[in-house]
Amino acid sequence: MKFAGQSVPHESARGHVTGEALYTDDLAGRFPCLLHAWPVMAPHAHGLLTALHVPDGQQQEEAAA
Amino acid sequence: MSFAFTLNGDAVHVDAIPAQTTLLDLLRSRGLTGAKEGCAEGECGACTVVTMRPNGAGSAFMPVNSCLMFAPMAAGQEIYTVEALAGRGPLVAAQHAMVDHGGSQCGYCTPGFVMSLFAEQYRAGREGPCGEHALSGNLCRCTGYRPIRDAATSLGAPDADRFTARMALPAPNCGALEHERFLRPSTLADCFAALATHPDARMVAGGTDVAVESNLRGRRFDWLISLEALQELRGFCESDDAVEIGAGLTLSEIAALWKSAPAVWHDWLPLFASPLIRNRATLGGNIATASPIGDAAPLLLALDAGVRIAGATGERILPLDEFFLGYRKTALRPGELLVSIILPKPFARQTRFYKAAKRRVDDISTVAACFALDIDDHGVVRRARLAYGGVAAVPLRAREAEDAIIGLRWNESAVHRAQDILARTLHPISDHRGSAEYRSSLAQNLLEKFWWQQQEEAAA
Repeated sequence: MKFAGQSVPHESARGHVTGEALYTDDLAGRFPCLLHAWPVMAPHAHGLLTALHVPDGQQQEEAAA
Repeated sequence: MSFAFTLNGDAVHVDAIPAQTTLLDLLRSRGLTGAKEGCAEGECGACTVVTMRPNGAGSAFMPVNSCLMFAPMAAGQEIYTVEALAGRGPLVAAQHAMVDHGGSQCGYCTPGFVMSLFAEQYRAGREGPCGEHALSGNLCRCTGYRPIRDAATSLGAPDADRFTARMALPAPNCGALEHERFLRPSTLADCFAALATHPDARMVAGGTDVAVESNLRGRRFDWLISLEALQELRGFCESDDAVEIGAGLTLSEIAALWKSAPAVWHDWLPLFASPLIRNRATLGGNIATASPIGDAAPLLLALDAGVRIAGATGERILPLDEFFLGYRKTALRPGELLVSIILPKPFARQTRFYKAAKRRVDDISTVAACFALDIDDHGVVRRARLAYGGVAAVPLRAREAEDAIIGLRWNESAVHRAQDILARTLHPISDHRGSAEYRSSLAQNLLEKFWWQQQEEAAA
């Protein structure tokens, strides 16, 4: 038990204190053209999903379904 | 239209960026993702960065919420993010302390804590270990505050290094700016001209309220006129008769300037938002935004403040009591702005401020109250000011209750008499911070608390 009673630094501590640790939103900007998923709640409690449509007026490059 | 500022020691030019983009978003878009967005309203401090501010002939590191600064506010400034501390080299002391004391768990809030702690360690005139209160604008939801406090208190004076060398040099001077629909005039005359050209413009000083409106409510302004470069709003003058405080001074600047401030100011200051907000928020802004739960109004009303208002055609002075006309509505006419707040002397001998909120610090009040009494040698009330926030659409003085206790001996029966009137005359609303009944009880009980504390003090 060589670690018992010893104070061991958090393995990510350096990343945390320097800002180098990357979180989801930090990664988003590092990948151009990254597809973002956006959950949408169903308006019907027991609906059957038959098709997905890109909202009207949105370009194909801006939204995917 | 573009602007420039110094970022982590390098000159940065920013072209075409919408004026209401936050400094945080600008920094993150440049790959500096150490500063995070937690709340976008200056509560969590995960977005903390440090700006250089003048300090005598040199300068000081001042931590601020980058989510509450519109990007053009950075024009001409010198800003450091967490990435500048260690660079690719060894950790600085504040970072080391957080590592050694286990001050991070998920780590999301950590860069913000590090920046506040770094600025506190290098704060000019600080003695002994770093104080935990410097971190009261930073929230952590998993590590727990004990290891973070341990990290703070382990830090003493900084070693001479590149940061202390930087402090010996002057801070940049922020001048006039025109960027997109963001105007920053550098003279009052130019400001009046801008207000005349754009009568619907929103005036903004520190931005700690306007940016919340922008970030969380999606409010978009046709024009923003920044008051930050107006030296005319930054005066501080104390005489035997009064203290006159420039409306454009930040709370932190006032604290540094007002050496002879009364005890109630020192009680009140730590309860005003957070250190990060106080480094940007101006006293004038807190008044002009006219929030019924602004922290400054009850204090200033109890101290009988007046406000100096200027327009293109001249100046006028109004009692603060007559300044708040309705919910977020003030006596400022189109084209006018707040120049200073005037506090007449002598201050009441017995004055206390109370802020009831869900957190002790770094929170918005449910009810705030400030009581100021002059009691003569016979124990009789000669002058009374009972000022409240959070009990109506405007901050107000409970005049009927004040009048009722003048001439009475200040005892429990006088307190109850005032409480009965407060119960009848104050009409707070119910919202997520508290019900109308709770607020009414608070308003009454705070007065009783004031009385009991006076008894305790007298007995001590």
